[in-house]
Amino acid sequence: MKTLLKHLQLISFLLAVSLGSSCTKDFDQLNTDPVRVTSVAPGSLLAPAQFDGMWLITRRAHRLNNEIMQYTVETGALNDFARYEFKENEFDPIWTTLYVKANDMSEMYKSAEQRNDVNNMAAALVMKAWFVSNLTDMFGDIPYTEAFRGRDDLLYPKYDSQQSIYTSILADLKKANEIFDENKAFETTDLIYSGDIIKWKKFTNSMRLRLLVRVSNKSEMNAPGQIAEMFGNPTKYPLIGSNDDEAMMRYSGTKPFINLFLEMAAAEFSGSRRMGKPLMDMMNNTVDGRRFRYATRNTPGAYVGIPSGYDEQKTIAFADNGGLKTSTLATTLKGGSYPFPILTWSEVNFLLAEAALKGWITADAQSYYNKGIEASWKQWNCTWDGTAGTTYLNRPTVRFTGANANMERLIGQKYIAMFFSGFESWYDYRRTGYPVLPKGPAVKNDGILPTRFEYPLITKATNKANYDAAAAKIGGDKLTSKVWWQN
Amino acid sequence: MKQIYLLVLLVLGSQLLMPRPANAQSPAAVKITLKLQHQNLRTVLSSIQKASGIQVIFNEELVLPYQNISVNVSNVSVSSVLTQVLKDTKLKYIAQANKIVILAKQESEDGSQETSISGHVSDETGKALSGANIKLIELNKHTTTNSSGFFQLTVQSGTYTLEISHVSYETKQIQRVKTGGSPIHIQLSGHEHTLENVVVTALGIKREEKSLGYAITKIDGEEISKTVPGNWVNALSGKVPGLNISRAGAGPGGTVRITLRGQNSLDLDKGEPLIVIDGVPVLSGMVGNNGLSYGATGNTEPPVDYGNALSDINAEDIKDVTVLRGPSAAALYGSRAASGAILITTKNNADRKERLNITFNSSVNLEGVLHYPDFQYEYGAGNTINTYFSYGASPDGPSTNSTRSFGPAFSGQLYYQYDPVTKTRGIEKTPWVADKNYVKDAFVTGVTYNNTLSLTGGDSKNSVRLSYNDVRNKYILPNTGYTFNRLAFSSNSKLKNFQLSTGFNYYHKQSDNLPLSGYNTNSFMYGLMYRSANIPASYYKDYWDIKDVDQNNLLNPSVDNPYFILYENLNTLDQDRIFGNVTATYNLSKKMSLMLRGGIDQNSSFRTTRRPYSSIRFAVGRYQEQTVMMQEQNYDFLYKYDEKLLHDLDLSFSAGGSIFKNKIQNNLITAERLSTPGIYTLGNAKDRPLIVLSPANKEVQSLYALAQFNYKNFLFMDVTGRNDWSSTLPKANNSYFYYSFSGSAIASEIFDLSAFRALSYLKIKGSVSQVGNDTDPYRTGYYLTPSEFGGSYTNPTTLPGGDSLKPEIITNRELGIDIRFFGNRLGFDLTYYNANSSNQILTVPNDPATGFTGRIFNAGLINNRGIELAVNANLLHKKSKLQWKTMLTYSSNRSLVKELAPNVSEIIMATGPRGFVKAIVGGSIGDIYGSGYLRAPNGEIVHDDKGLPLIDTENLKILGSAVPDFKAGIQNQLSYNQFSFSFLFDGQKGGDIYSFSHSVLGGAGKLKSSLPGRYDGIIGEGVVQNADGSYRKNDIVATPGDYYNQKYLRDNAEANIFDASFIKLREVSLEYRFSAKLLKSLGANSASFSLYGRDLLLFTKFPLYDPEIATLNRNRIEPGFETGQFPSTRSFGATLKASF
Repeated sequence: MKTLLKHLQLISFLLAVSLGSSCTKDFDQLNTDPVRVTSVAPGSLLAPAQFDGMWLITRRAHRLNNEIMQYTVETGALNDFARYEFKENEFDPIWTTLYVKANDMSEMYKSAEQRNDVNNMAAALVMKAWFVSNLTDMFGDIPYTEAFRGRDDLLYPKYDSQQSIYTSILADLKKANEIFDENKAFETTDLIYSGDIIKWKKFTNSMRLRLLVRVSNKSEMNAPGQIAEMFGNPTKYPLIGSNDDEAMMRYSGTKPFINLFLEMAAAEFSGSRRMGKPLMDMMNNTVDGRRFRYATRNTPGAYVGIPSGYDEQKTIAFADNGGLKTSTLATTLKGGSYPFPILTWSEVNFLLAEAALKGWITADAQSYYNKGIEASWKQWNCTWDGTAGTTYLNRPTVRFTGANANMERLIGQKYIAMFFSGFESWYDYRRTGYPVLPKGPAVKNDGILPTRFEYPLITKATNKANYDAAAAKIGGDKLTSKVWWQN
Repeated sequence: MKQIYLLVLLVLGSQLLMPRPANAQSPAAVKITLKLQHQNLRTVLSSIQKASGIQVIFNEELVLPYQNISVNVSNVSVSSVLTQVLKDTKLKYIAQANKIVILAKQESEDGSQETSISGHVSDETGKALSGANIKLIELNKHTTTNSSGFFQLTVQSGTYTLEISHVSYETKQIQRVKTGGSPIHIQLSGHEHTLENVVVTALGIKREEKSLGYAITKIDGEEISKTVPGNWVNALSGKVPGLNISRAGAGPGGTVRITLRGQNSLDLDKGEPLIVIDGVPVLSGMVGNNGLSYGATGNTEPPVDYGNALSDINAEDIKDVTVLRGPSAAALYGSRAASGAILITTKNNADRKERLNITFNSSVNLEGVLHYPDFQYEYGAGNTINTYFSYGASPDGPSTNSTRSFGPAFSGQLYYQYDPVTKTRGIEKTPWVADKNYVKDAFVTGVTYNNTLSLTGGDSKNSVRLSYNDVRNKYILPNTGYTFNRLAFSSNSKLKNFQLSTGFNYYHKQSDNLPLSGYNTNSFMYGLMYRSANIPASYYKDYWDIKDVDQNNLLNPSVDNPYFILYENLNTLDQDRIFGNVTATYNLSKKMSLMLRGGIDQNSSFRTTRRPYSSIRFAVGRYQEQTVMMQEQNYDFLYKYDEKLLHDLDLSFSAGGSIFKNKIQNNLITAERLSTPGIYTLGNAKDRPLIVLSPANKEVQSLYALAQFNYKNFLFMDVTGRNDWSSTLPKANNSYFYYSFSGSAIASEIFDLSAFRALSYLKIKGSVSQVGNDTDPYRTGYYLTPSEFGGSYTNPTTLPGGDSLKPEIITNRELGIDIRFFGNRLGFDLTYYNANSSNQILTVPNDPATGFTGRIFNAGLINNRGIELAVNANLLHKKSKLQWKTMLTYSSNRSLVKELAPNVSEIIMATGPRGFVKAIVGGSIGDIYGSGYLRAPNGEIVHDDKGLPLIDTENLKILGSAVPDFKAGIQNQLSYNQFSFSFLFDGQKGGDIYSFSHSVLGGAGKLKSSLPGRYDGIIGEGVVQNADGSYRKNDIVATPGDYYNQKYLRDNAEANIFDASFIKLREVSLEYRFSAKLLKSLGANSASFSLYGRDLLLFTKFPLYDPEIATLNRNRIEPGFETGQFPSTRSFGATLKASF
């Protein structure tokens, strides 16, 4: 034992060497990621949120909105959306991506606010309103006031009423318009307007107009009054007034800024997907100049859509069309630099046309209606000048006069114009009932075109108590429950 | 003869001369005082007899020549006096009972008339035994066998008795061995689990197995290299109770995932044992290409199996493998061994063979597909049974070509079909016939050549071993495979109290193409699922339409041409690995030693992936370079001290410390599109190449101590303690302590159990231990991730663990019994364990409304309990020429998820193509959830108005478990003379797999199971709902194409989940060892030739290629799902081994 004690000295020395030479003091530095960063300038959060949010909305619109709204009909075995059948987890990507991107905007707002960086504050509010409005328009009541607060350990956010969410995001948009300041720096990675503050203001007000019209059935929101106020003061509330102003994702075609449809397999994009009959019929009736931008021609050279809501075998037979084939999505839509719309001049015109038609503003509904069509043709890079535009506007099924100056015609034309404009056509349909779409014999959901999406699996699994309360409040988490602005 | 004659004379003479002494005592004990000057020997011997009282017998003639002897001793033993007196004579003495006999030294003892006895010692399987002790009884001469089992004794010619003993075998005597004859062959019979069995335990400490209180298994290196040409880990299958191997089935890399005693973590990235080579931990885990095994879209890809560090070890360099099955055994290794440890001892020249020894080992291995699903060859391509088939529109009508096989039956009728020469529809109609080899022809015979040359040598103090290995593999798919070159060097030096050993290895692995696995348009197996029997495999061979620009995939435009995949979609690998260690031991005294050790393992891989223009996934091509550098450094010291505390109590105390550093760099540079087709460089990128860097650095510092108590060699107790400091945990929680207590009692030695005559050995063991576990780097801090857009970032989607993250705790209790009967001929080793894993560090899902999809959090409590059994039997008597040894293993593990995080009802551990492996409180690890048939209240399947079964996608139900009920293996070794034969069956009962391939093959009409009802339609078993809501028996005839499509729909996990029970004939080996005579003529020390087979037979109800399958997804192997696996292979090989 004596020798053991003698060697304790040696042990102590070795311990000292082993621990002393690389002390745990280095651990902080060692456990710091050498690639990622702990804080960033607010404007550096914008580009990925815009790109990812846009792609989510566009991709899901292609998958869901375009099928429900019969722009397209998938003939393959895997998609039953045209028959109103959805898997339980179908809506998870929407919920996940839009919330995560809205959180980026929430963080961007907080960080900009600390630096009194008003332009980034305002841009964050607008982007967040875009994401959140899509979420609530799809699902109804959703977490909002307690959302985006995971960092504060608020892990089970309660659901808010759609009305309170709308009140809040409309106020945010109003505030954004007020705080955008051309005289201040706008350090940004903006992919939409490259930091053009005037265009941002126009986008902000146009977004507010879109959302006001959306809730215009709810008298408590005083949408007509607010629209009139904005319309009456274009200096304070500039709106998108040209194709150049509109919010588009104008992809450069160089990675990473490309239209991701480019990377989608042909089979997923247009392989087994055909154009829908209502759209093709409408466009054929009026010899619409945008057809070649939307669709391909079939074997004999015609634009032919197929009816929606039939079983798989019948759908395949429709698509084959006795060997003559039918139209698919135009291949140009898959181009790497093909621009996709967020909020267009055309949409603004249709919104104002509706406001004028309903007497909320004093203006000529027809001229906004016509402008809406013209803006759409130009947006799709179609020949409008010369006689092309006037010929079209004067077609009896287009002309917006007399008894035909009605919501059905207005939303019908807007439906054509809103092709690939996110879920706007579905929101309009749920609000106005237009366009009237035929229901195929194989549709589920009691033949009702879904009035909302069911809450995603992920919120059911991770926020159950709040989910249960929210589902109970709307009379069950069903595809047929109505959201607040529909009632 | 001469000696015996002398002895007879002596005995006679002495009887006459010598009086019988009063007391008889031993010459060493009796002390005398004697003073004599210049006397003759006879007088001196007589004086000794008088002084000591011990009778001294001698032959007068023999002692006569010696005169003039002086002795002057006082109080010295008789024996030393005799030694002194006889020093300069040709005489010696032997002490017998009560007397001393003086006789002549044999001539050999002074160097004349030498001859020798030589021979070879082996065990009953014929394996050479090194270190066996050879004793020549008559002369009390010793020697030991060399590493090849040979010995030689130089003796005076005559006939002798040899005694051969070995630490692990029964001692054997051979009578009447003549000198100068041919080498004799000696077989020792024994048992691997003899009491003296020495095993390597944690930190490289060698222990007697009987002193251990926890479960370990040792596998000999020969067992491993015998039948395993590729991944040596497969040789553990069926031989280690509690060991589970999940195979990726993702190509020649052959990566496997090992778990011991079940998955003890909810995180599938954890739960694998630590790998230790020669006492130093080495790299484990893998960094792949992060490919998705299914559902890959856009610029994501399916996985490539590049192999992992564990699989790469050269089996030929392995001396033995010790598996520390549970946390108690591995407690001294700390957190990294929370799921057990696998200790590999490599071959070295520790026997210090002095002369140069060359061993050459050459094998060739052929492999082919083990088992095919039941494909049908009766119906060709088509969506439904049309009256005709037409590839493209033809005079017969529109195209009916399809990826499905519900078309017309084959009967030689004439149709317009694809013409591979013109790559379009044939002008003439051709017969509609099935190519029954359309699947088989997709594969080729795999060949692996494996050659190893090793050299050993040294002098009395130093020894070295050098080995070089060359492997050339061609996989069962054309243009895939790898080459492997492995160099290993080791040395041992012993300088008085100082020992130094080193090991150094350099590995180079290279591949021109490793296949993409998984389910994707660019994986080979995906395309194969959509082929039909009317298209021979050769039709695909001309795969370019326009070289480098446009592939020919006209036969199925939605997938890549299979040969285009194999010859153009290349995934290369160039890997260098250097690992080694230096160990220095200094013996401070007989009781004390100090060891210092350092090891490094560095693995650098450079990988490229090429995707040509026109591939489905990457229309304008793609090129990627991935550089992965993994480095691990370990330094440790260990101080050892042995002391006899009390008369019967020994203590062995060790204390040490270690530093572990781990560094990973994973750099991906991608040209996402190519400017010019056919040129694969980053310079040819159309866009700015995308760079993704994923580094990881980690360090753990540790101090530990171990005390072993040994009471009378039948009661043992170990106490260990260890403290780790990990860089990955927050400062307040980064230090954690764990302990273990284990003990064993050899009841058969403590108590008199002679009443139970059959019982030969009984040991009871038990242990309790607690082990901590840290986490991956950078999981505590909040980091923003750079996005692809320059100068921009996104917030993390996972909330970091922050300062509250704590280490995980695993508490293990185990009890075991080792009982043997009939002279150790039958032994049972049974272990029961019960382990709780708590405070698991997990990524728990959040409602994304929080802004984060998950958070890193301490949560969960899992209980794993199970039994492990090993049975050893030597069926025939040891003396029998034929030896038959049987070893059986059995293990069964049950897990229970006791707690998850608050408000978290489930944790998804793995997501399959459809369905999940989920942990739910009250459930088990490995439970598979998915949707199934919609069922009527009486449980029958509900059909719709077209007679198609309805699928309930709303309610996920538990459909099975990825974990088997039990696993078992039985091995038999037979040996007879120079032949030995062994075979191993192993298998599992239970366990389920969701097969994505089955969903596709079943739904597309490729399998025989989709044949019923082809012409007449099919009425599904079940019910159909009436208008009033009631149910009637299904009476609706469904069209088969629709019916099978719906039944085997991907969503219908219920119809695509299968029992994965199986039995495999895993190993068969027949070895012939060259006889000593033959060896002599060849000039070889030893040589053998063996034939072996691996995975020869499979018995299972699983309908796909192999039930022993998991999915390589991202960078890990996930059990429970099959997503387009490659077929597993059956291999045959021959090995020639020779040592000179």
